[in-house]
Amino acid sequence: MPELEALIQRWKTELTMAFGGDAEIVAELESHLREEIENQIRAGQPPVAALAAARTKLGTPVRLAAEYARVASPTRWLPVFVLAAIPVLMVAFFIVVTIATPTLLKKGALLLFHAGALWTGYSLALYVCLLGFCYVACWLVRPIGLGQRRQLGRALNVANAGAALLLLAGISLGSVRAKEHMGSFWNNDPREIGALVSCVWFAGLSILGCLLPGRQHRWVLLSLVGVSLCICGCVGPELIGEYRHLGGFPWSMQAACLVAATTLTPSAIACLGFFPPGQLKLRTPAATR
Amino acid sequence: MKLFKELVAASAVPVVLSILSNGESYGYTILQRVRDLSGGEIEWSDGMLYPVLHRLESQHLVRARWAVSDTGRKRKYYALTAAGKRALAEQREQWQLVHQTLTNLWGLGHA
Repeated sequence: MPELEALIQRWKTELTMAFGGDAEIVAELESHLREEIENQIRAGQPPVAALAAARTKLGTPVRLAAEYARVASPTRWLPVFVLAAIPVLMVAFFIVVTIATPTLLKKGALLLFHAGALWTGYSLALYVCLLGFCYVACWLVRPIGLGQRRQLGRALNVANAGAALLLLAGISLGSVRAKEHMGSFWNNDPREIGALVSCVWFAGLSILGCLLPGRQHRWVLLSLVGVSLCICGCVGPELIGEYRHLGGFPWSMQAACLVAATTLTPSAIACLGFFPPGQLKLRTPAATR
Repeated sequence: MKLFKELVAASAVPVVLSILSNGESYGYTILQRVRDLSGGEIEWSDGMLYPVLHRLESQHLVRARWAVSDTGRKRKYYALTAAGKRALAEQREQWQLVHQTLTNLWGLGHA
């Protein structure tokens, strides 16, 4: 029954994706599915119909993963805590720089809070980025457990929501200041658009992450794409001649290439998440059959 | 008769522990046993059982081992641990108390 086997393998791939590559759970559910198929065939069902019935009885992979995630208690995943220091350090650095640069303080509280909100928002994006790197690295070698994934999902939701709110605050404060100094709320700097797109992206992911917590893999990868948008929105306009207004930094072709590479790296890392899990792990014999 | 979802969920742990108190078993047979014992009235969804087993394993109430069946298929067998036996005894007491209370109440009502 090669057709049946191919369909089972396709189902198994879906299940593996939904469970973040947790081979033991997948093996147990596969064993169950095969038992049910055999039972259905014995009851007179043709093989493909037997598979369809068995799949229906077991539930969709996403629903199964959600059931497991519900009972799994969040377990500590070290990168979540270690990398949490990054936004804290960056905010501390911002405070030190602000204190050490009295000219910035003299320009007014509005500008200070505008820069501070954006700085913290982008720091959270960096946190999301490094968390995503760790996740993809684990995905390729040895998937993380259900409880750890649950904690990762929560950390990601908080970071995405935080980044979205801070970017929104930064944009709003910047708009008010722009109105005071340039006469209009909007359209003074293309970085506004970059920050707004990133803000919408992170807000959307945070909402989706809360509504569909079983699809963490997808949200991590899309968060990495969001980081690319952030970098592009933040430093991209500096590459355009007419917008080089931050001290007139002389952009060379090498610098442009560096920015482009930095922008694309998170999305490129996200693409690695499309490989099946455990690609870099040494293979062991198949668990069931 | 269709049981309330909450009742099915609440009774899942004592039912699984009770089945495993008769000896080690695996997911598929546990489901069939529940169906048989309830005369087909309690129908657990297949996907519901495994997370429960997973949780009991993480709470050390059951232990699991992989073994190859006569048909050559690998199966994950579950067995009660000492902590699982204690938990079952506790569950039994609590459910018997609930059962006794309801019996008394409804018995009085009918009297």
